[in-house]
Amino acid sequence: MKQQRALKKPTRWGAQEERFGWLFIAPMMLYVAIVFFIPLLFMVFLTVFRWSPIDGSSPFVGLMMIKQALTDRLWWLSLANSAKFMALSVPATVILSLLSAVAFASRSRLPLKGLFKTLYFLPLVTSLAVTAFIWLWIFNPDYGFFNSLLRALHLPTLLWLADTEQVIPSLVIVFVWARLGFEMAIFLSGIESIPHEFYEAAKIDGAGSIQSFFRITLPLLNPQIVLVGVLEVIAGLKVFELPYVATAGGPVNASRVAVMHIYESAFRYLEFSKASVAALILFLLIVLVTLIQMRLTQRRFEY
Amino acid sequence: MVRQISRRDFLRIGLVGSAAAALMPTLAGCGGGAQKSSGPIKLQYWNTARDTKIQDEAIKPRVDKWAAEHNTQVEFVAVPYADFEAKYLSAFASRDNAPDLFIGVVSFWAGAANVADPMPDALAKRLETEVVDAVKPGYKMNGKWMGLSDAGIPGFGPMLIYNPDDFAEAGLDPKKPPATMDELLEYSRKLVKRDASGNVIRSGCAMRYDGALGLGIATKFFPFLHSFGGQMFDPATGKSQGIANSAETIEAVEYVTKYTQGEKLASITLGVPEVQFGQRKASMMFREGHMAGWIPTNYPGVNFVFAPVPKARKVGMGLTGLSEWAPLVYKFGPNKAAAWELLDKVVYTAEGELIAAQHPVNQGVCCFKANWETPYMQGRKDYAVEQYALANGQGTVYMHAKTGKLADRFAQGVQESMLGKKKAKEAMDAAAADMETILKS
Repeated sequence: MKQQRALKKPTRWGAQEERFGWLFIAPMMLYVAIVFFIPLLFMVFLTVFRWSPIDGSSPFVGLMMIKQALTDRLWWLSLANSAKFMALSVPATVILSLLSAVAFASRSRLPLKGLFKTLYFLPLVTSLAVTAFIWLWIFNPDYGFFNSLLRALHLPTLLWLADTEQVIPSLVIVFVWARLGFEMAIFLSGIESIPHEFYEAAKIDGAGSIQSFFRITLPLLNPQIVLVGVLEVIAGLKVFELPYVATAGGPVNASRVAVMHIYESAFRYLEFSKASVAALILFLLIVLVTLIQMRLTQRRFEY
Repeated sequence: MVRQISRRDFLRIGLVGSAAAALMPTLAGCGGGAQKSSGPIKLQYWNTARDTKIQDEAIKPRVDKWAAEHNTQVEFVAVPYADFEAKYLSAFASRDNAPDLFIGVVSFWAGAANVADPMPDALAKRLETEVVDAVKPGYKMNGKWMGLSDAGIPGFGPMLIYNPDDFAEAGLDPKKPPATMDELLEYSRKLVKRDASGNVIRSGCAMRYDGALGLGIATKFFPFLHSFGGQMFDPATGKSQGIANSAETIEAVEYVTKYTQGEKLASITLGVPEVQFGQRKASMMFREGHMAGWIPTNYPGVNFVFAPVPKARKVGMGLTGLSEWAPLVYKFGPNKAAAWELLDKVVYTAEGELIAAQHPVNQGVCCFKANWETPYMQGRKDYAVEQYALANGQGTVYMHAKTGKLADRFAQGVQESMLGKKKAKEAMDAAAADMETILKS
């Protein structure tokens, strides 16, 4: 009996310990609730209530705002622009950052390697809104650096940000430049964690550097590739400050992206319900694309 | 040796931590709350930082003098211009941190946002008699006065501004500006300069082809639109179908498209018209009279002359445009009476307007009748053209709660045609349909 009681005691203490544990994580849960869940619920609330931030009124409007948001041509155009931006930026960033990382990893005796790594990383720590102004000068069709270069090479000049077809690819150039360093750092740490013995064994078996890259580096970098891919898809779909500062969505809304539409609906036109519907669609789209992407690209490799 | 924590201590730490977390937002809220105290009335006056210099040097000294005599303190706050709407909105949503007075576009803040207090009757009555008729619609919402500019207006609608030196160089008479839209086209053909590849390096007449907001494109298109007899929408009936895509509107859109696409008489890469003009990359442009001060300040040495908007079908235009900017009073503010008193006695006066209008970076056109015969107004380069515009009576003023959104959509249609993305009719039919939806929503 005594022994039974002795066994029960720690169990009761265990249950209490669990309750105390909840108390300890309560502050963080409260923070998450205030910062994430309540705004998310409020956003869902706003899709069926027409809320005014000025007087706080919120009459129930049913599906009216959802219908209005879904039939808004400008919203679908903005979403298509975001998708186009993402479709161009993701492969470009993943491939270029991977190649840069491989180049850095293979040149172990590269002079000033640390400096080069810093230079690659520098755009990430600089405000994109600020660098956008520098790029505006570089892209200027009349006196910009790129067209001056094209003229010097006797090549036809481009309109860059001033043309509806060229504006998104031009913005993608800036975006890739800005993100390259961060993604390269992820790949570089992945490459450096691959045991060197694998490459030595492959070399003994007669594998060249290209074969080693495709048979060893690439498969073992799968977790990093998935991570970078997911991060880039999210960043591409929710891009805002770069087109907002560089083009304000122009010309003729050709670079108006989904987040810009959400922002303008809410803060320029005071249409918070329409903005909430659009934000919800974007959120679900990001979740869906990320899940599909992870399902398609995640592989388990063990050597 | 690790010291084991007792159950009591464990519980105590957990409870204190949770309570602190729960209280944190409440405590934070207490810190930001307004402190009510007896003493002088405190008014907060918000301005977009764009006009800070005018406010600091021409308005603030008079306001401070009045405040000292009336047991009032006025704090001026310069809100950065970029996205100022969002910044204002956050303040109005919180109520406690909202300004008593703020500068904004009348149609938006009195219409869509509905935060502006209508003007007291006595002040409205005074302004009704003291102010030039043509400016009145730009400051009224549903027939009620909401405010008046604190430093004059940019001008009585757009006017033609040309460089007489370029005229002489092209063999045109500098004293004979184009009087019709056909002549404007002819002059532009003579004035345009292109490089070896055919790119425009000097616009015959600069066109506004791009910009952060559609509003800018729409207002710069008005001289053509209204001269051809077109309209953006009908503010009286709230209709856009058959108006934003009327034959006259489409003709005006086709006319400007000739400059940017057809004959390539205007650049679509050199920047906004005033910058092109200042940099000697445009010989003609359409802007308001405040360019009389802006051009010499930013591009000294550039020669320029004002002329009336050339006619297409309509004879002259009168004042036209979107809603005006004005200091407005927050309608839920605790000190509304003091705020209106300040505007009545110091800001909305002929004397105050004249001082602020003359500020070198402003060079505004006066709205008070009493100021029209002053040496300042008579000495302005645009004086004769402003009088010509006034003599033509009232033009269309697009005063509507959704003016901004409607102008954005209308401008998109104009821009699609100007940049060769759509035919004028196709672009304006789509714009008219979308604008109709906006007007009904």
